[in-house]
Amino acid sequence: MAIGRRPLVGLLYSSAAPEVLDACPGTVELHELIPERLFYDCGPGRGNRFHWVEGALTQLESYVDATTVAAHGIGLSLPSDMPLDEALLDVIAGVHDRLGFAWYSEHLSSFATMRSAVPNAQAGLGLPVPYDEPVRQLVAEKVDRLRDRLGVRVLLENPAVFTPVPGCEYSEPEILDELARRVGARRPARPAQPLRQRAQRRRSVPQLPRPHGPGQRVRGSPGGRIRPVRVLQRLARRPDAGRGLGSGIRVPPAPARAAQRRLRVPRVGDRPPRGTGIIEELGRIRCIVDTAAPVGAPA
Amino acid sequence: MTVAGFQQALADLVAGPEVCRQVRAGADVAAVLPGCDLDDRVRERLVAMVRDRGMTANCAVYRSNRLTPLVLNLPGTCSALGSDLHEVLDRFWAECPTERFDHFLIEAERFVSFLEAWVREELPSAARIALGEEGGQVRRRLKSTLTAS
Repeated sequence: MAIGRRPLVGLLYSSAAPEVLDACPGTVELHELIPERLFYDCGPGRGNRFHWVEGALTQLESYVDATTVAAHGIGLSLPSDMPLDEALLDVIAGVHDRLGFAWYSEHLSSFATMRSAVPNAQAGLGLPVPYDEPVRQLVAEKVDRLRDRLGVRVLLENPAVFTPVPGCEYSEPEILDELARRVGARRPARPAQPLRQRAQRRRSVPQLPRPHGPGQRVRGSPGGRIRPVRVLQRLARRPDAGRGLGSGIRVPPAPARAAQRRLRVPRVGDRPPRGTGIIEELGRIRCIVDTAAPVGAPA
Repeated sequence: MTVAGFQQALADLVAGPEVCRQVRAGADVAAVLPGCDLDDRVRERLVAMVRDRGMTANCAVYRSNRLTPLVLNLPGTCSALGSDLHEVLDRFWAECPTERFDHFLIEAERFVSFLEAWVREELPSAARIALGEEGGQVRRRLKSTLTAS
């Protein structure tokens, strides 16, 4: 996000999100979703591979209306030495057609191999990849293909690694920089869809493709634009909340009164409803954004 | 260096704590993973990674992720297995090595089939009863998700 623009308050959409969003309408401005959570994937080689989770996409649309939507994929396993999963990409593109992703992010780690795959749970284990030239080429080619298919900026998330790969040609920042430099600033083949067209695209659930045969290795020329994502440490409740951060901006320790009114957290007996902590945190983040953003900054 | 060989070998190591123990004890990584194409550089890297104490975390997270669909969909069966669950899971994961599965119900159904085919007679009666109930639910739910496309 360019300096000077107002940050957005974001939430990763999950099955628990509606409860939170109902309790604090208007607080969340950016929804990140994992497309793979909207359908069942029975795996390549099955006759009817993909099946929508009934009602999930419609419910999602009802909550993300008029907000920015971004997607975080977990299934394409870009650094894996295997062809890009075009059938899965087709389904992801169908969701994008419906919702209009502002950008698409994926992991810079390997979830799958030709013979097997690491279970890809929501907090799944991505295996570290050697930051060498062959891997850089693999990722660059697939990012190119991804950009051309979706028409949006692609972001790469650096992995959490328990066992670093020794003796790599690149450090992590170097391979991210090299990817960004070599794929350059070529415009995507398919331009991004503006937000206001989203409603016009809502006609029906996108058609799930028939299964593909074994794909060809993607051989696109480098030229897409990518942007590395650095995983930030969780913005936990800081002991210095309420004090200055050195920039002259004061961080409020709790939501302002107006924001607190918006939260409307219902309480049943002494037991707070599920998601209360997240709701309060979202209110606090919204206050920080509203306080810290430059005056008149566009969102 | 072959990227595919490295990635396959690392996936197999993460899925096989016993193989990691053998490598840590001095076994040749190429000998314990005969199906992987490993050159000298890859072998050196893999040995260094296996000896890294973080490899224990890799193995634990892997097992946790494979356990998740089973606990979510077969909670009573897992609970009834009690202290036997560890051994049953080791046998299940040895018999059914890592496959691509993004669908938790498919993995749960695979575990149900494994229990029915391989160890049903050895199961405690409480686990057999829970398996009968939860296994049926898993198959019905799986069938419904696969027909509601």
